[in-house]
Amino acid sequence: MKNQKVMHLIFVLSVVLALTLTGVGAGTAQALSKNILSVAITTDPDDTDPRSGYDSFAQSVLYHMYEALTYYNRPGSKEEIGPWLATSWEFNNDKTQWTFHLRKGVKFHDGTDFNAAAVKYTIDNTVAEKMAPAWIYSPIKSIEVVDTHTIKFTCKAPAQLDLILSSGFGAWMISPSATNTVKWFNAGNSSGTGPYKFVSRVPGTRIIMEHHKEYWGGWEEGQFTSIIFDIIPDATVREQMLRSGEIDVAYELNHDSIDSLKKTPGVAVHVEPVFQTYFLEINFKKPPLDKLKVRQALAHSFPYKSVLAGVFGGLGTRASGLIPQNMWGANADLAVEQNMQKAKKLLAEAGHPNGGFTLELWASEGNTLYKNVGEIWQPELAKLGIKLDIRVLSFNVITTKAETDPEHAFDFMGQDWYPTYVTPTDFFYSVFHTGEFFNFGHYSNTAFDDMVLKADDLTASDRTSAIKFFKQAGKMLADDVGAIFMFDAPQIYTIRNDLKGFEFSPGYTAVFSYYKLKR
Amino acid sequence: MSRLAYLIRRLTLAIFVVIGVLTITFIVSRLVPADPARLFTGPRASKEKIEETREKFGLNKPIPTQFVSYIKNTIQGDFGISFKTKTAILTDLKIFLPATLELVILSLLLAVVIGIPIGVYSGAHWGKGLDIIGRVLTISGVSIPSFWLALILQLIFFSWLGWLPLGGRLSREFLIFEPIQHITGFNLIDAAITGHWKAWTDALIHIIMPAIVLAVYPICLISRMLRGAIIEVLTQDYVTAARASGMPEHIVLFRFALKNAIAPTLTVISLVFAYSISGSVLVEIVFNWPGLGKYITDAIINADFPVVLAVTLIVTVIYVLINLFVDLLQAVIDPRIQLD
Repeated sequence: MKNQKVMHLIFVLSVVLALTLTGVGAGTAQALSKNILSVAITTDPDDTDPRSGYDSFAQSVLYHMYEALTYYNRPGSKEEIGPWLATSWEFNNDKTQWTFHLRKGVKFHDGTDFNAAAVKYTIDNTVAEKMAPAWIYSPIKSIEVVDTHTIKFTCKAPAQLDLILSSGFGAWMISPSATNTVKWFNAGNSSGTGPYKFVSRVPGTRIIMEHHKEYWGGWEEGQFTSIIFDIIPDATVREQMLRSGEIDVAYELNHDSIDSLKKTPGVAVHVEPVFQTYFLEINFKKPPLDKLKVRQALAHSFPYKSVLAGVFGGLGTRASGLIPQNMWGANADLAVEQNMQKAKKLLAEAGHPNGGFTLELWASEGNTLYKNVGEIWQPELAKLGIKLDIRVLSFNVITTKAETDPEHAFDFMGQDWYPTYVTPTDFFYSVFHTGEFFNFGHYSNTAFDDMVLKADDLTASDRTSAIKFFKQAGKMLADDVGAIFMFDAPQIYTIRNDLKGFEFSPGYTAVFSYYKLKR
Repeated sequence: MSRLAYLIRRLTLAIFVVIGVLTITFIVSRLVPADPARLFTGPRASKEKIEETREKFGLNKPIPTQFVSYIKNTIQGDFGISFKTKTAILTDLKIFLPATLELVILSLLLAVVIGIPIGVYSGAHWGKGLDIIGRVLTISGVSIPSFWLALILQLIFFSWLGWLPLGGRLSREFLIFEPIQHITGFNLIDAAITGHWKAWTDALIHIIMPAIVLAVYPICLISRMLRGAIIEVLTQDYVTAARASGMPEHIVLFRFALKNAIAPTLTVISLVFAYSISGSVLVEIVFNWPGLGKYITDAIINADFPVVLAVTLIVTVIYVLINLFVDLLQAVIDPRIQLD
């Protein structure tokens, strides 16, 4: 009897063991995992609607599902702008009329054919819905479908339309026969022509995409058939997952880890030059920051070199004004040096010989960079008798306060910028034009505003003069100390080194092509 | 008072508690200087678009009006949409609530299965070697911060031994190629119902570490409570009488002592369940467990107040119901307790 019980127990245990072993074995089967690319991203994209998604997180997922008419090539290519969904284009002498010939045999994720009507639909819809990036279409007066694969744009004034349509935001083509509402797009649906389509989205957790079988570029053995984005807010965890091979691509790792990652077997680090700059917006509505001399003193007290080395691992370069140094329209003569003697003198001239006031730097949550900047700046300001408090708040709180109650908002706000499409206008106009939304510091100089618009108007017709005026605008802004311009920074991608085919363009800062990758 | 009348009275009170909590949360969420319309439209939206959105969601109406319409919608089961992710909150909750409940229930089962024997043993062997060791362990268990323990376990079982996954609920292969059909939202149950045993095993190895971390505090609390109660009961006259009459010790212990000592322990178990739901926040974040805790943390950081309200509502309702359940259960177990 007792023996029987023991035998019975042994039998049950061995069945359980066998089930567990086979279960675990099959769960990690190599054949299944071969085609999955796993990516760890920092946070959930706010918006996966291709018409309105307007931050780096949105770009990092939309780019794989949607395509624009033209492509911003990597600098050093023969042409600045290359074909994408349009294969060729012509324009008239004064660049007011543009005709694009569209790629044939392209299908949207829902099976609909991509054609000229779809282009017209996308742009009309994005503009009519007042989507945030719709401003890029403002030069367009009318759109005419010439035939199924030819579309003609008439512009209000000369415009560089091929550049505009290569935009990394708001220029994604969508299928006219899909549902296309904000809610639908955000519930894990897509209607683009890109190589991958949405399968599902669990907010704050993960996004899954699978390959679009009818993609016009075709598919080869070795390309990824599925992409999974895991949302992992902690940079250290993302780094550990990359090191252990648990994931293939890790976004936004700590800059101090980059050196050690470069030496880690199995990991590849790509440092890519992009058009990205970091600065501290200054609140012009808060005394004593309304005084030029005080702002100049603060700019001279800023430890540019230590900040660059301390918070960016020495990977960036000193900023010279707002426009990144590798972009057209940049002005190389605007860099400010740290000079404490000069800062002291300027402060005394402004009527604050011993400082005696407190300033607040507001940093948005989830980004430790600006907090670190503040900590390096604090001892320098203390030498001038100025106390710097650092507050970490949600981006929404910072911006709402700046807009509705600027007198009680930040003194400095951490900010970084890269262009919607590659033009200095997007830097100058969006952040510093009088009354513009991102002008949280309420900077206002009508001469500067006019200069930017003048340069923008000439962008298409006379690039040389445009550059000259953009440089002047940059100087005006720097002379006013419109912000503390800290550094330009490259984009850093850390991936497993068995991934081949890494391809990146600075026109799309937050993303690189997963379609081109193979293992 | 009859049980039914008592139940009705308690439920009526519960409704007031829920409305009270909702009112406070609603007011606090509106005091935060964050603009929900801007959150919805994204950082670079035009002023015109923000106004349009404000109009669409009634955010430009007076706060009392907004509150009334919020209550109306909630009663109809419409929690609205998340201003950050633009997804229907009800859809999200169908994923996140079962994930948290699965974790909490499993950890509580562990706590009961491990905590009760330890408590009984320590009580019966009060003051002896193992009891002293047990006391040291349980006091440490109650004091250890859960996220720290979680990190240590990850270090041991993921980094060093490689036995258990770092986090998540399921391996990528199953998420993508062989997903578990969503029936109850509890992976272990759904996989068992559909006979998807490979995924069941995978779900199990994913839940082990977070469940253990979440169970540590309840194990220690339950065993300490029970130990105290058993020691007290064992000094009673009727126990001495039972022993004197020559009754075997295990009958004395289980039939007499445990039965009398279990009532206060049940209260603790139920309250620990409610505690674990909110306590799971840290554990969920460390283990990347897609549950309510992670959901509400993201919402708080982004000032996404419809989500904050919805989760607060659910946790409040669970608390209130559990409290009521405990009181009723006490009366059933111990006839000396009167319901009034």
